[in-house]
Amino acid sequence: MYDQEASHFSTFNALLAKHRIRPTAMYPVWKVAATALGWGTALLGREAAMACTEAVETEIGGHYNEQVRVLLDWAEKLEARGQDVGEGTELGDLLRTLRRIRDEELEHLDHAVENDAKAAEPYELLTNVIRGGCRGAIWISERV
Amino acid sequence: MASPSRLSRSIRPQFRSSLLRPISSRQSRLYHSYEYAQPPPFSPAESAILSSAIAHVPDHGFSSSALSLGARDAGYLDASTNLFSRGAFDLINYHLVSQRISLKDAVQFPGEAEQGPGKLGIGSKVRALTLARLRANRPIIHRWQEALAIMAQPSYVPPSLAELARLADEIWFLAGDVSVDTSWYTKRASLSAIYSATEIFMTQDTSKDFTDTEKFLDARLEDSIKLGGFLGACSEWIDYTGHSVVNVLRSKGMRV
Repeated sequence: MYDQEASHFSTFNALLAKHRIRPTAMYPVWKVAATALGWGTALLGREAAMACTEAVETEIGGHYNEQVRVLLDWAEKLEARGQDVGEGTELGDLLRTLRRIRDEELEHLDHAVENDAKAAEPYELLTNVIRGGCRGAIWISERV
Repeated sequence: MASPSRLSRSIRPQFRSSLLRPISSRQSRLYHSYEYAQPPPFSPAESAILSSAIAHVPDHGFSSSALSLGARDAGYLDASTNLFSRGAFDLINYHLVSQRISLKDAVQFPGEAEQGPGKLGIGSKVRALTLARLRANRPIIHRWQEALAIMAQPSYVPPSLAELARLADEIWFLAGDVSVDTSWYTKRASLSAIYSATEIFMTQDTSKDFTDTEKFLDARLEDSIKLGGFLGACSEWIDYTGHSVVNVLRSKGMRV
């Protein structure tokens, strides 16, 4: 799981650099927050760590789905104009990458659930807080 | 799709198209596309007048007379200069934008396969690109102080700073920088500061071939490297000390 996540991170960093997109200024804040989240839930126990994984992967799965939806919409519009959006085009490659990464994240979600994520003690509280935090982080990163 | 580092810099098309999201109120971030061209920054008429006006700048400065002469040369009526609501600043802006855009063609680095043992690092590429951009100011350098004065007017400060930021971004991108953490911001901020200081120095440099400006630039780049090295050493020290404290406490039996 770790290796896949590391490769997701480097894939998106490469995309950011290649397409000259301004990265979020909140990067150091998210780095610290993510480390704290990981350590915190690990200290709470194995089930809590799995529940954290489940919460994060649920949110990220939804986020990727929305991005794929928007890109598919664009691809449709481009195809209606007669442009190619298959293999090898920017949009086609981006769609393929996002779908692959979304599928891998959902696999992580299933893996976490199989490993007793639901058995974590303050399950509702933990997952709701983490999901809310993820949503907030995504919202802020889109703007800052 | 080949990654940019493998594309020869001299043939890479540089196009930008903005990423417009009609969903909620999300802001748009610029996305540089390798497949779609960005519309040119100036309309054909503006381009024609401004490019001929630039030729008159060495004699007439960045002024409305240069603009009128340029309009005349391009075959437009003198009154066409009303197209430019910001007057002389539009001419200055044209100079800044056109020089920034031609930077990728002005400097070509040998592709990775052709480089021998003396491989160019990103630092030396940044230096080469900055020098190239500074040299592009040579024809009009004696008029640049008045241009800076115009750019410093309160209503023109934001667009001037935005152009400076875009220049710094362009230089780092062409030099091959791929970092996307906080250093993305610090690198561009420091390069903007270094570039503008060197440009101001260049306006009063009387040495042959602007060798003094080159030395000034080298001194500023060295300063920033030293500063970076110092900050890195500081953070390493803090890291080490923090770990040592935690370990000592643990050895004393404290649960940390």
